[in-house]
Amino acid sequence: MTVSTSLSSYRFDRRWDFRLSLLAGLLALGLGAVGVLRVLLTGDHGALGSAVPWGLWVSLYVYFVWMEVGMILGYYALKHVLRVKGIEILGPVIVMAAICALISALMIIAMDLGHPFRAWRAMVFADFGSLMTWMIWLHAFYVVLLVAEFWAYHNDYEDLIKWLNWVNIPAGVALIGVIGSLFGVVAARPMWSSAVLPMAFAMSSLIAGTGLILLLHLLFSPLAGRPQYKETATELGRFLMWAILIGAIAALANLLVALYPGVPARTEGVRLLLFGPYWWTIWVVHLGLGTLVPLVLLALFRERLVALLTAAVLLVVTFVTVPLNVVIPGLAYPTPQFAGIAEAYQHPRLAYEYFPSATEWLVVVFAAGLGLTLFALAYRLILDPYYRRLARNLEA
Amino acid sequence: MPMSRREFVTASALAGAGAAAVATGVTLNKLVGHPEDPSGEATVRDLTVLDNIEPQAHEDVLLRMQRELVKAMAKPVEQRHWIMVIDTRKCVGCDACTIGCVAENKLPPGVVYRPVIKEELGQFPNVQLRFTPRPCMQCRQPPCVPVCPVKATWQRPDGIVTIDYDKCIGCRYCITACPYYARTSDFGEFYGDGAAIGAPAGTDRPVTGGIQPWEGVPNFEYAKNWARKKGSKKSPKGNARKCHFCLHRLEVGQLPTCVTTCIGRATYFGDANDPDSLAVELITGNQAQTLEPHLGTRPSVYYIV
Repeated sequence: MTVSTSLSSYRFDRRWDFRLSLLAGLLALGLGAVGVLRVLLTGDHGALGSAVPWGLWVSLYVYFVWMEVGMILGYYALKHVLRVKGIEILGPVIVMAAICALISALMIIAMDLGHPFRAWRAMVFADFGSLMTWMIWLHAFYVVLLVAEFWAYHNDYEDLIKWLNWVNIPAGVALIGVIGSLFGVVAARPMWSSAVLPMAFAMSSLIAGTGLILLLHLLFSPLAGRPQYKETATELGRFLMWAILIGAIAALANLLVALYPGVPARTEGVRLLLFGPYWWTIWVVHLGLGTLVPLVLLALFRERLVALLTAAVLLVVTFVTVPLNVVIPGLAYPTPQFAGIAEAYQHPRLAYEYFPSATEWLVVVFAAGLGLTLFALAYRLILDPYYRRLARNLEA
Repeated sequence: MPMSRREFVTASALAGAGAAAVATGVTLNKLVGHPEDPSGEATVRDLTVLDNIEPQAHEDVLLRMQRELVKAMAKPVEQRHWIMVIDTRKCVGCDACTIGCVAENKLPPGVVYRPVIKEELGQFPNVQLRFTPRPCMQCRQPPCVPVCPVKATWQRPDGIVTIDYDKCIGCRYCITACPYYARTSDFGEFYGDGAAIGAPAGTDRPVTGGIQPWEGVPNFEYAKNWARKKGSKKSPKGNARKCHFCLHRLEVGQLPTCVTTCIGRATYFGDANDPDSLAVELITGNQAQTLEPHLGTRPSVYYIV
C-alpha cells in the first residue's frame, strides 16, 4: 500500500492501551458469559415475549451492522470521493474493526434465535423469498469480503484491494438496504412499514460509521504524533459534523411526516417513541448527548483533539439508542382493532411492556467484550507488526 | 482515477451476474412448491364417524358440521378449503374456546392460540360489551409465510397455514409479520416452575410444588408427538406456534376443539368449497366480515356481526 513517509517514525507505544483493552474485554467476556450460558443451557430469552418478540438483541445486532458497514462505506467515501489525506493508512484498522463488529453482531443475533443451532438451515434450506435469508447470505458474503480485504491489505495486494473495494460497496449497500427492508416490508407494524426505512438505515450507518472512523483515527492511527494526524482528525470532524446535521434534518422530516396525519394507527408508535416511558432515550441520550453536544463540539472546538474524541465517543456510544427506538416502539403496541389483545390472555410474555432483563444485558456485555478482545488481540498481534514492517520498509 | 473501459465492462458484468443470480433465486423460490405437502388420493380419508347416527331434525349443529367434515375429508386435500365462522352475536366471552384450545394442544404459559378480545363500548348507561375470539385467520395471502427464512411455515392446499416445528429456527420474524397477532413463541416455560415447594397439605397448592406431571404430557399437533420436558430445548420450545384449526383432529374426523367446546354454539367450521355446508350458509345469509380487510390478506375466519 502507498503510505506517506510520515509513517517512518512509527513507534509502538500502545502497550498499556492494549493491556487495558484486553483486560476490559476479558472482564466483559467473563461477566457476560453468565448470560450467554443461561441462554444456551436453559433457553432463557430474558424479557422478550410474543407481544414484543424483538428487543435489545436485535437492536444491538442492527447497531453492530451499522458500525461494520458504515465504517467501510464511510472509509471508501472519505478515501476515494472526499480524498481526505491521512485516511488511507487507517484502512487495515478499519477493516479489522469491521470484522470484530461483525463477529459481535453475528454472536448476538445467534443468541436471539429460539434454536441457534439450527441457523445452518438458512444457508442449506434457504427461502429466497424472505428478506431474512438475504440478510443472512449477504452477511456471510460480507464476512468473506472483509477477511479477503484485510488479507489483501496485510499482503499489500493493491490491485486486489481496489477490486474488493468495488465489490464491497454494493455488498455493503445491499446488506444495509436489506436489513432496513426487513423491517420496512412488515405491513403489520405501521411504524416500520415504510419505503424510507432502508434509506434511513443507510444514512444512520454512514453517520455512525464516520463517528467510529474518527474514534479509530484518534486512538489507533499510526500517524499519531505527526502533524498529519491532527489535520486528518479535524477534517474527519468536519465531515462528521455535516453528516450529523444532515441526518438530524432527515430524521426530523421523517418524524414530522409520520406524526402529521394524526391517524392513531399510524402515529401510535412514533408517539410511544417520543413521549412514552423511555422518552429520555431519545430526547436526552440521542438528541442531547448524541447529537447536540457532538455538533457543538465539532462546530466550535474542532481544532482540539479532546473535543473531537469526546464528540466521537458520545456519538458512537449513544447511537445504540437509535435502533432501540426503531425496533421496540414498532412492536410495543397493538393496532387499534386489537387494542384489547393484551388483556384477552394475560401473561408477561404477552404484555406490551418491555425492558431488557439482566440476562439480555449480560449477553450484550459479552458481545461487546468479544469485539473488544478480538480487536485488542488483532491490533497487538497483526496490525502493530504490520505497521512496524511498513515503517521499516520505508526507512530502508 | 477514473475507471478504464475494461474495468467498467468487468464491473458491469459482475453486477449483471449478481442481479441475475438474485432474480433466479427469487423466481425459483416462488415456482417450486413446498415438497412436504401431500396431495391427491393419498389425502382422502374414509372416516366412519357418525356412520351409525341418522341425521335428525333439530339436531345439534355440531353433528351437522361433523358430517360435513367427514364429507370434506372424503375429497383430496386440494379440493377442500377450511373456514371458520364466529357469530359474535352469540359469543358470551366465557373463554371456553381459549381454555379448550390450551387443554387440547397442551399450551404452555405465554402461548395462546385463541384469546377472546373483550371490549367495553360506550358510556353508562349505554354500555355494550363486544367479544371477539381471535384464532389464526389462516389467510389466503398469509404475510407470515414469505418472511420465514427456512421454509418452516407454509400454506397447505386446504388453506391451513402450518409450522414445521423441526425446521423453525425461532427467529420470530413471522410473529412480527402477522397483522392479527395470531402467532406466539414458546419460551420454554412451565406452569409449575417456581411454584412454592412444601406448601401445607389441604390447601389448593400442589404439595410438592415445581413442574407438575401433567405438564410433560405430549400434545399431538400436526399428528406428531411433542413432549416438553424441563431442561430439554427440543421443539416446540423455542418455536413459533399458532392455531392450526386442530389439524390433527380433522384428520380423524373431529371438529376443532374450540368449535366443539363453545357453550353458545357461536363458532362454526366447514368447507368453503361445499356450497351446502353450514359455514357457507352462514356467510352468505348474514352480515359476515373479516378482520383488517383493507390489508388484503383474505382471512378464512369470518365474523357475523
